[in-house]
Parts: sequence; C-alpha cells; structure tokens
Amino acid sequence: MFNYVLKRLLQMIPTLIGVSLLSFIILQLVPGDPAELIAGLDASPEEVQIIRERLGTDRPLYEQYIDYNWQLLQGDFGTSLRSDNPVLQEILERFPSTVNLTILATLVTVVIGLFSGIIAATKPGSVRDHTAMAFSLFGISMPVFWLGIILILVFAYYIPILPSGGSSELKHFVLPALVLGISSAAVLSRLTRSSILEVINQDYIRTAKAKGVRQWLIIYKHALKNAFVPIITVIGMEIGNLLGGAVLTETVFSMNGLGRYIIQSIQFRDYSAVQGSILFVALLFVIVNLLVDLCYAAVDPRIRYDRKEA
Amino acid sequence: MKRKLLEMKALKTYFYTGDGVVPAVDGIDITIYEGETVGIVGESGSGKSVTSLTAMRLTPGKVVEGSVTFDGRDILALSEKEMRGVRGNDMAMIFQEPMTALNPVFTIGEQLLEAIRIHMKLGRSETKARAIEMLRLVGIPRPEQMLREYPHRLSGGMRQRVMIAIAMACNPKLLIADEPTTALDVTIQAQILELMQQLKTSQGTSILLITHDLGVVAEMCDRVAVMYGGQIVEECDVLTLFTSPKHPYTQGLIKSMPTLETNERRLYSIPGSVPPPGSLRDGCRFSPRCEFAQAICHERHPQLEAVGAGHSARCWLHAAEAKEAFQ
Repeated sequence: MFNYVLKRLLQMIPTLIGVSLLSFIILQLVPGDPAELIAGLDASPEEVQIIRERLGTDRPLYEQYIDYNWQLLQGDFGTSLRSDNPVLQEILERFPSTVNLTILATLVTVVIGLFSGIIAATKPGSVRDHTAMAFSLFGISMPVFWLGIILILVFAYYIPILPSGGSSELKHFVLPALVLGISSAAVLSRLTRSSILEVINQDYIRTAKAKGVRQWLIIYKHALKNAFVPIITVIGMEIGNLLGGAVLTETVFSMNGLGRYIIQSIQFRDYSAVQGSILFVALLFVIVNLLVDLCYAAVDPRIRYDRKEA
Repeated sequence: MKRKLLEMKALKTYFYTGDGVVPAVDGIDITIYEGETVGIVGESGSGKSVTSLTAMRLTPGKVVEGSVTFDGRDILALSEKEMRGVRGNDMAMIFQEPMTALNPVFTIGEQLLEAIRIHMKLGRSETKARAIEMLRLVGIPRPEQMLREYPHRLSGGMRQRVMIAIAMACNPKLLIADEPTTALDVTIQAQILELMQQLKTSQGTSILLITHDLGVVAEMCDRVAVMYGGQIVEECDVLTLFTSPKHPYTQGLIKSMPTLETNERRLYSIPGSVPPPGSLRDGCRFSPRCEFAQAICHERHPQLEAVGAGHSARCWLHAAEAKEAFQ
C-alpha cells in the first residue's frame, strides 16, 4: 500500500511537468502582450520594451520556461503581473472559500443524489422512480447560472433570508452550494439508480433474500456497497472539478473563489497567475484522483494495490 | 407415518413477459416428508429451478394457481415479514454458482453472522461461536481465520461449503439445493454431496435437490420427480427410477448416462431439444422428441397416472384405459 502511494506520488511529477509545459505554450499562443497591457495604450515603444525586460518576456521561450520551472521547484509560483503579489499567496487567499463551497456542494450532491437514486432503484417503474428521475432530468438540464439567479430571486429578494452574494460567512455559501449540489446530484442520482439496478439482479442479492434479510438492508448494505465504485468515481470527479473553481456560480454569487480568479487573470493576460493557478488546480485534481483510487480498495476488497501486478 | 413438510399442490408459476405468458411451472404436485431427500430432475428450462424458488417465494414469476404448504403453514398467504422469518430459518437455500452467490464485498464472517443474527437471537460471542461451529461442521479449516476472509480468496468448493454453512446455520427443516454441485470439479462434487448427506443425517433436515445429474440423484435422493416442460412426467422412488423407468423421457435420460459396461462409441442423446417455455402445444409435451409417439400423443395431453406403488407417469403408453377410450 505504502509503495503504491509512493509510486503514484512519483507519477505526479511527469503529469505536472506536462501541465506546466502545456499551459506555458498555450499562453504564448494567445494573442496579446502583457507588457503592452501593463504599459497602457499611450505608452511609447521604449516604455513597453523596458517593461518587457523587467518581466523577462524579451528572452527566448525555452529560457523563460526553464526559469519558470526552476522557480516552481523552489515553491515560487511567480509574481502576479496585475498586483505584484506572489501568485501562490493570491491563490491561497481565495482557496478557503473554494474549499468551503466544494465541501458544502459535495454534501448536497451526495445527500440528494445518493438518496434519490436509491429511492428510484428500490422500485423501478414506480411513481417515486419517475419522480426522482424527473427531478434528475430537471437538474441536468438546468444551467447553473439560471438556477443561481432563480435562487437569488427567491431566497434573497422575495423571501430575504439569505445573502445574494459574498463569500465571508457560512450563510454566503448556502445558495451557491445548493446550485452546484443540485446539478451534480442529478447526475449522481441517475448513476446510483443504474448501478444499483445492475447489482440487484446478481446472485448474491438472491442469497441475501434467501437468508431472510430485510428489503432495505439488501439495498443499503448488500447492493449499495457493490454499486459504490462508479459512485465514488463521479463524486471524486465532482470534488476535483469544484476545487478548480466554479466560475459561473462564483460569478453569479459574486464570490471570491479560484474560478473567478483564473478568469480575471486570463482577461488581464496575467501569465504567471494563470500558469500558477492551472498548475495548482492540476495538482489538486491529481491528488483527489489518488484518494479516489485508494477509496476503491476500501470499498471493494478485490481491488488491491499492494501486489506486484497492481 | 412421517409428517409432510412441504406440499405443493397444482402449482402454476407463470412469467408475464413482453412476448406473452410463459408457464414455467405448469401444475406441479410435490410432497416432501420430514427427513426425506426429494430430487427434481430435468434438462435446463424444464422449470425445476422456478419450482424451488416458488417454494421460497423468491421467483420473479407469478403464482397463478395452486398452493404451497410448508410445515403446516400456507406459504403463499404469509406476509412479507412472516416470509422473512421462514427464509433462511425454516427453509434455506444453496445455489448453483458458489462463485457469485456470495457477496464479494463482505467477509465470510459477516455473511454468515448476518444469517445467524437475523433468526437466532443470540449474544455477540454466542453468535460468533455459532458461526465458527458451522464452518467447522462443513469442514472448513481454520474457521476463526476464515471469518475474516473475503469470498474471492476461496476456491469454488470452499465457497459452496460456506454457502452450506450459511444455509444450515439456523437449523432449517428444509434445505433447497439448486444444482449445488454443477459448477464444481468432480472430486469436489463428491465431497459436497457427502457433506450434505452428513448434515442431513445429523440434523434431520429434508432436502429438495434440483439437478440434471442422475448420478447425483442416485447418490442422494429417496424419491425423484422428473420434470419436462414445466410439468412432472414421472415420479417414483429412486430405485424404481433406475430399474424400471416408465416414461420415455426418463428412459432417455438414463440411457444418456455414460456407463462402464457398454462399449458404444457414441453416447446416447435424446433427439431434439427442450421446447422454449411458452411454445407448448396440444398433446404430450415430449411427443415431438419421443420415439414411441403415436397419434394420441400428438393430440391429447396425458395426465399423471399411477403405474405402480408410489410410481406415477404422464404417458399414454402407460394409460391403457384412457387410450382405449380415445380410440
């Protein structure tokens, strides 16, 4: 197990190098010169050139890239062109609200998605199945910004019990978490339903019935644990996505999260901020993936990572 | 006189599918007395598994007619809750595929303890002691360790032993074994059969044995019912079945068993194959494959009639009077 984790951690290095290279190249391909943006419209070419030299963007690309990676190795994500603050500091300032949102949204997803999926699966074709699946269709089809605006209207305007925006207190997170949670709960609900229905026809479920196990225990114990691998996969992806920032939701609720930071940095051609954030998000995603893989082994004893062939 | 344990009367279990009604079990009478082993023999698709699942009320099909009486109780009239108290407790079941019949994500211990917890209200340590005792009883080495193992670490034979331990954990009056040895190696088959025989004698359990293997029948059963097309075509004690089978289908089954004495190059097989359930016709269901079939066989459906003491067959060859009346 320890060896497996070590191996996976080492595998992260090439992944992250790839990400840094890709993000570097893509940003170079995007038209626009940060030096011109910083200098302003009425700056003389000399002034722009001075800024270029200060930023180091006048040097060959490979030199810039190697320099950048060297800095990264020292834990330096570079300095924001926009604010002159260290990029890592700016990311970490916004990260807590993204984490809060992720946790709450995932909670909503799991509670609503898992239970509506289970309820639907216990009686396929019944009224409650159709109700749960109709809800799910609604959740999948509803764009997050639209749902967000509706929730703001209802809970911040007509029934003013929750704030419409901000990200300083817990109550600020309720509506955005609902918006994000509901849309992915819809996906999880369908997945849970189909996974359980697939498991429910297995021989071991018949064995459980023949033992005299109660219907709800058959579902919650015998079936659910077997259906869990795809469910964990989707929850893991969801967490990874959310940690990367929820741009639309953060915009609608004027929250200061990672997603909005990345978008703003892109708009400003703040290269170092964009690169730093992308790398940071990629790192999170890889870590979440590793955790998900480790969860598989916890749920299904047939999945083992301590053997050679694994 | 021994007491009747399980009695199925005129039982019909139909499946309602998109393509129409499939009469998987079409009017079956079976009685199992206490301490008796009754075999149901037949090819795949003859309805033998559905019959056994109907006794447990676990069939996805619908019982449209008939009755199932178990230990004096009307099984078909019990509530779902009462039925749970019967399943695994008074009536237990083991299945054909030990590889898939155990839940892969729970330990052997959890699956065995669960059965004991549901039906026997024992303390924690007594429950565990009972589980270990059961594993030892079915011949599993190092039972304490085995409790912590997952099914995928066990061989097929071991898993079937675990299944038997689970089934026998609450001292059931009836053990339904649906092809318990079909998926196992021949040497393991013998061990499992011997184990079942042992448990039957020591616990006084009746067994309903579903199989297509006449060798298993000869080994295990007191009485045998041969099924074809959802109906019983012959029923008798096991000795009679092998010495004087009456129905051509039974004779065919016996002829198609390999023996050491004969020196034929090709093993006999009954021509044709089992008609898919639902495609049944007038007349005897076996008549299209029967080498003795006469005019009447294709036109009128024969009844199950006594052909000897405790011996009945569903065949026009042995229903002389009725046949004369027809002619």
